[in-house]
Amino acid sequence: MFTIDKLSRVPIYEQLISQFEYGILSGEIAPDGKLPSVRELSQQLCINPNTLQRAYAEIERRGLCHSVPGSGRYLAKDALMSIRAGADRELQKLSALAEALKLRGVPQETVLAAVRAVYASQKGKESER
Amino acid sequence: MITASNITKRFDDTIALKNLNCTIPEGCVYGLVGSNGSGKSTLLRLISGIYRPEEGSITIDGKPVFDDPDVKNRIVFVPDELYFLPHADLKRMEQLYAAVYERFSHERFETLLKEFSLNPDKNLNTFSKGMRRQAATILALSCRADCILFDETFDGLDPVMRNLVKNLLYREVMERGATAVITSHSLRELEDTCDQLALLHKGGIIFESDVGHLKTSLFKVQIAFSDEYGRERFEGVDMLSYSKHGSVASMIVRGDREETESKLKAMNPVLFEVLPLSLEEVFVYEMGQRGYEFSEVLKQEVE
Amino acid sequence: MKHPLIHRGFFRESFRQLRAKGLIATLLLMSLNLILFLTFLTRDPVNSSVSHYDARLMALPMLLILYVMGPILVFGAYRWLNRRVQSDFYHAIPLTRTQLFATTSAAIFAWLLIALGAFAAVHAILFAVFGLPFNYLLYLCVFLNMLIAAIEIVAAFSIGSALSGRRFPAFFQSVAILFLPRLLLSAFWILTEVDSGFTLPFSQLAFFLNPEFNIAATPFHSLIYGINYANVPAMLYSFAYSVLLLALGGVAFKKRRSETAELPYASRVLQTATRVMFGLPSLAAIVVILNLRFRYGSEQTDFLTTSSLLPLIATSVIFSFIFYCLYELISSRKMKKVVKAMPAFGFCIALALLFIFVPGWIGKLRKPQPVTAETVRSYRFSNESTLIVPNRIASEETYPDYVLHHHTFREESAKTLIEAMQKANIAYAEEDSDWLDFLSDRVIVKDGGLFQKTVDLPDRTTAANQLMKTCMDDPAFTEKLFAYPKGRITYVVTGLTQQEAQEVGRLFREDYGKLTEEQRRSLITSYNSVFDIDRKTGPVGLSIMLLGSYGTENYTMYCRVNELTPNAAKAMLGYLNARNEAAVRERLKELVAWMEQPDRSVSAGIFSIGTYSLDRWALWNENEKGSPKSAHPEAYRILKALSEAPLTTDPAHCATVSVRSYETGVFSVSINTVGVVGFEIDENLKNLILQWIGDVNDSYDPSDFGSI
Repeated sequence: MFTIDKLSRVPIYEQLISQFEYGILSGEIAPDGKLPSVRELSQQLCINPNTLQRAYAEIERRGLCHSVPGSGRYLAKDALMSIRAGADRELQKLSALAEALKLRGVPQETVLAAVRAVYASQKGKESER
Repeated sequence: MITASNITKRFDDTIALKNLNCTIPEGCVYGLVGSNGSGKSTLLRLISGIYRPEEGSITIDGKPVFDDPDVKNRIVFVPDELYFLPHADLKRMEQLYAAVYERFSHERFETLLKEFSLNPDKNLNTFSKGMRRQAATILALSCRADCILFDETFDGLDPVMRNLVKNLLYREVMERGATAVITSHSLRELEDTCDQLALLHKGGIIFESDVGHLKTSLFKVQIAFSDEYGRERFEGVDMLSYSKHGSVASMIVRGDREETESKLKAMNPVLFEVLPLSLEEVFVYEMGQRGYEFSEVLKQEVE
Repeated sequence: MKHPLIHRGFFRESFRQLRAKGLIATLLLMSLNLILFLTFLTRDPVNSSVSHYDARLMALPMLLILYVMGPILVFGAYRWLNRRVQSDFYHAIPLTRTQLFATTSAAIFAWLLIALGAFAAVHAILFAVFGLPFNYLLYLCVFLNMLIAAIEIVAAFSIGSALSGRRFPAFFQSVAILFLPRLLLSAFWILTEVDSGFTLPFSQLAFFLNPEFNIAATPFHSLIYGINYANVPAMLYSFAYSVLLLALGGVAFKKRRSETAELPYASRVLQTATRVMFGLPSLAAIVVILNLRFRYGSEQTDFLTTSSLLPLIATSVIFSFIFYCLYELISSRKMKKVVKAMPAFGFCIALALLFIFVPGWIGKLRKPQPVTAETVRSYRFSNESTLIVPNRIASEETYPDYVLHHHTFREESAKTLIEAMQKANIAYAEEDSDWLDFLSDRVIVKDGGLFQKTVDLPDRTTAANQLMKTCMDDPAFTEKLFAYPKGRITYVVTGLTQQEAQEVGRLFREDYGKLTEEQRRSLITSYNSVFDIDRKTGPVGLSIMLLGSYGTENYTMYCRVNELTPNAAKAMLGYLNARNEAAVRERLKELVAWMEQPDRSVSAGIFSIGTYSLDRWALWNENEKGSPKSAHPEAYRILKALSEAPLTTDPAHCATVSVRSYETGVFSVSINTVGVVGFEIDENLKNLILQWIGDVNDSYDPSDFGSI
């Protein structure tokens, strides 16, 4: 599920969070599903458990999951919603990006085509299921 | 918790450690990075009770380590240069360890042996460097110590073995809340392994920080405005460095990223980009702040 | 105790690590037993000489093996002290340094104990199996002494190991710790000695010189002089000293830093001290010479003029300096350090000056301590005293000697004699300051002072003989003297096996018990004492040797066996007759034939009748014409009669005849006894024998040839 690039400039724990969010959005992490434990993940990814712990804590802080003592961590019911709620911020990023592209003289169609392509592939994946 | 306060260690005429302070919390993977002769090994030997500091004290949970078997039973040390009894195989070494380490576990030893798939009946001194290190790791981890000290941890190990050792260390940390202190002369080696890093130079810790925090505390900003501007426009932003090429300014900023981002965006830049830094870069700037030249402190890294 | 001094797990580990070395030590010691066993096995049961259990037999080889294996075990156990990696390894394991030291020492001792114990057990068994004289208590003492020596050697080498991180300096320092304190003390003491030791109670301050104190420091002394291993105060002193050294080792070990490994020394002060020690020996000769010159002026040392003295001083100082620097170079392997170390050579010179001047001043403070007759309460003869037995054999103490040394005399008349002797001694020392005069006969006097006083018996006065005479007037002394000897006794009879001898001895003891004091005195041969005894004791020339051990001491006594001890004599003759008849008759026949027809080229051998020995030269006179038969008709008659007489075991009507032969070896002539038998004789023959023998060799000491 997770692919961590240890040589990346992006801190591991940020990579974890973003990949986690991506997992929820892409549906790889099923809603109401149990999340892999720190232990499993640490051994699987060969990552410092403390880093994982921190990433989980952040995810939990953002309300994406909750832990049941003695049982484990579960995805929050409204996780998908919360992430989507964050879409505004991402949209802002997109407009900034579009602005940059505009400055570089990239035509509107090209940009839109790229966006469409993303959505198209997303649909494709869903239909595959 | 391992606490070193104001320790000074001298060898004859040379001072190996000078007024060193550090605190290593329980359950932490603590990395010590520094060039050869920076005092990493000396610090580990002080923590493991081999050396007695001339000044200051080293304690584990408040108890001085030196000459106290109760405390030393909680520590195991894997030095950079390994020692095995002459003609000994792993089984023989196990007997030695089992004889002196109260918490030594035979079952753990057997499990680890399988994981590393080493031959326990083969003379250890015929082993390759990497295999010797594996053997030492097996023995050390079988002691079920609370503090595991590794000097030049990954020296001679291939990537697969590195991951195995790392995983085993993580397991110790997770399952028993063990503390691991590992050293390396290579920053990259420790970057993804440790929670906390300390940079040693000439017998002192130059700086010490949380790895996650380190990487996020500094970031690079590239910004451009349509009008003319100078450094003074960024008043209130904690900059470690500032340079301007044409209309684009790049700076290394310390502080909360989001806060800085919104602050700068409010200025309506024409170009605005925030880039994370590699740990190495963080080190370069942090040390520059403290008046050290990175290349001087971690020579090998640059070479 | 939470952290017991000896950690069980680590003990097993250390013990195991020392296994090879420990087994070698055991085997080395056992090889001594093997040699002993082979010697015992190949000895002739009848004709081999039997002697006392000699403590040195065991002690010296044991000590030498301890000297080799002790350091090897210590260096083996602590080899990790000389390597950084290993030192770190052992210092990291969860034991206190004290535990590390105590446990490692315990493992070393365990091996030494195994080696020594196994040796000792087998050793004792060997003697028991072969029925040879053995002194269990003395043997125990030797064993304890060896254990003490082992502790001391291990302690010294442990200190040395702790003081250095390299093997050579460690070895040198260990050797110095072991020997130097004793050597310096002895040197200092000897240099303070003004004259012979008559004034100071030598034996009581003896631990300065006496090798029995600090047993491990004096291995070679025991080679030359022999050591009393049963000296209890000495053992206590040695033990306390070695335990102290061991404790010092523990302290040195505790203080030692792990990083000392691979460095030549643990501290600079110690390094300087060691260098000084290394520089000292080459100054020794010049110190002694200058010391004497300082004390006696130039007359005593006039063989050294100032012009010859100066180069000598210069040479020794230069050599000392070279050795001093050499040590630094060998240990630290750095020329820079050698240069740095040079100024401290001054300590060497200072120490030498101390030895030149201080002992002289101390020596001059010592005053003679006269003894007066009024104050003398009691006196006894010191162990070194041999006066009572002028011809005693080597170190073997005879039973009368033994009694003498253990008796406290209070005879009034002797007290004035002692005073006179002491005065004579002082006067003698004053007129002739011969400072190398040692006397060995002395009495130890109690006069109520703090120390007992020692008075030498000068053999140039007759006082000593007078003193001896008064001893015989002490009934308590003579009563002890003629009582049957105490302790475990092994009987030895030449020509008899051990078992036969013991049987004869048992009978002898019964017979002896029935005798009067006067009769007993006549049985004690002149080997034992200076008593005036009748040498012509008759034609029965049998004797028995008593090898006794009482407490830790051994004594020897030779006794006659004759008609006074009929049962013993009967048994002895029975064995001898059965064994030797054929051989003796054969030789007698030859002898008779030789007397009739002498042949110079044929050795007729020696023979003796009773206690009287004759050899054929006594019968052969170059100047006489004719045969020995015509020259000595009585002798011929006697021999002829004897050669035809039947054998008897009755000592009352018996003449013993012993025939021996010369055997010329490469370097020596040995005399082998062919055998002894008892012939039956009547009164006439007996008288003839007594008369004839009295004529021939009046001047012979009858016992010169030992028993029989």
